[in-house]
Amino acid sequence: MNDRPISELRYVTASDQDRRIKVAVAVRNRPPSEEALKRLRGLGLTVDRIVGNKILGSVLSSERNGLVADADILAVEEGAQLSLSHSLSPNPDT
Amino acid sequence: MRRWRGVASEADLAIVKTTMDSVGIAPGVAHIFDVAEERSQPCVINLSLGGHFGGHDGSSVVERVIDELSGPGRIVAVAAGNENSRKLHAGIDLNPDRKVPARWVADLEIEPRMINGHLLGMLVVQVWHQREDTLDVYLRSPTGEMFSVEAETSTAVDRGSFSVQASHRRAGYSADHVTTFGVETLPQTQLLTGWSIIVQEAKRGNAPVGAIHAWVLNRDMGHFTHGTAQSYLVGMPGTAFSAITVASYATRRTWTAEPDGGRRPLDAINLEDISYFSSPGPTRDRHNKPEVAAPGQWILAPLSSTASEVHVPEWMRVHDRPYAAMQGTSMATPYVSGAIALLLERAPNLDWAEIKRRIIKSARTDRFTKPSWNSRWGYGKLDVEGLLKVESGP
Repeated sequence: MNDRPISELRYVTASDQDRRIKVAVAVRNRPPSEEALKRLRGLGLTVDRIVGNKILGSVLSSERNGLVADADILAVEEGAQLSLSHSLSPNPDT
Repeated sequence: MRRWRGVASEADLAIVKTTMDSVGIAPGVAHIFDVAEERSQPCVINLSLGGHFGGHDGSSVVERVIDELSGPGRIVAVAAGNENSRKLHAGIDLNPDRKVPARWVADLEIEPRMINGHLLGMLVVQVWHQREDTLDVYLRSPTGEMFSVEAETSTAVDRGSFSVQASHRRAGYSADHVTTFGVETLPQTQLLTGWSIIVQEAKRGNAPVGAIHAWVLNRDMGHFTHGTAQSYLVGMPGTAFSAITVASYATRRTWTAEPDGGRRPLDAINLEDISYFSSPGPTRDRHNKPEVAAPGQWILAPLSSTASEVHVPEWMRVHDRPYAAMQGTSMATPYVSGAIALLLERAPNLDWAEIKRRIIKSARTDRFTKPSWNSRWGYGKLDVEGLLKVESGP
């Protein structure tokens, strides 16, 4: 039994660190109004690209909840790690 | 040296390097479509990647971006994924006529992995149920402790030998319930087995309770040991509504390999049958994914001069030529992308719906595919020649 608290290992996964995360944000208006963009930028959102009513950008993880609470927001999605769809094992169950 | 040619070997290529961040691929898709626009060319984008974050119903913002960017001459093909044998999904359709409160249990096992020099057990599980259902969702630890989280909140608990993080939210578009549990532990604690997801009604209500689904979000983290269902494993963005989503079947089991030039037979492969790894659908909202299957087992393709021994070991390399054999729906998807490129060469303004219709109409079925649509094969095997002959639809 290893008694070392798991919290000591948190740095490994950086789960507690404030970091810049990619976000995809959907807003009510298509395209987003200038007012909404200004307000979202004020909430910390950096806008990289607008596609219809969706904004691709980034935000500090600590500021994410501020975005979620905004009345104009339909959805906020954080970037998640995808995998290549390769399967390298030569046979089933290996 | 050009011994083997691809399906659309004269197509122009635009390649975007990715960090594999789900949100990051969206601007990559937009950029390639911009390049095509500047060059006044039709375009098909190949995404041989995926993951199990999200609702598996095409409603993620990134998937909606792909839907929005797709259109006439703007097509996206996505790999279904290689998780068929991975037990990453568990779920149940609850019987609406039952007399007792709904209760469902799925057991989990954590697989330790090396992260930054530490051998850790880390597991993230997401449980989805429908917006109209009021259900309590718990994570039960091997010590018997039950963890839950209030609506629209998050919490973290440290028990010394393990920690649990939990959050609940409503999905952006569907308003379905999403409960996420994260577990961290150490292999020495012997707490890698005995975890369970438990979903239950507090009391039997009048309203019917619909489907419950749970996914392990990373295939290297762990798997379900009980309550699994080998379905609903097409990853995102493969569940995007507009995407052509591709399964894999076997067409090769030998090649002449390094270092001795010997033929390498892989006897476990049944030629013409579905690949053991090819992820089955449908989507969580029961759309037919994947759409089609294409050759994806031990496909020979050009080998990068910078490919490492780790990623492409010698036994995968073709003797005396810059090619390697790899497998996955990653390899099947370019087959379909190439076929779509040939189609767009002839009819540059076809949109995804018409291309999907033609792929479905021309798909071959045989004794392996069984009647279509089915969750492994989709509508059958891609037939490139047949696809190019399909007439315009109604």
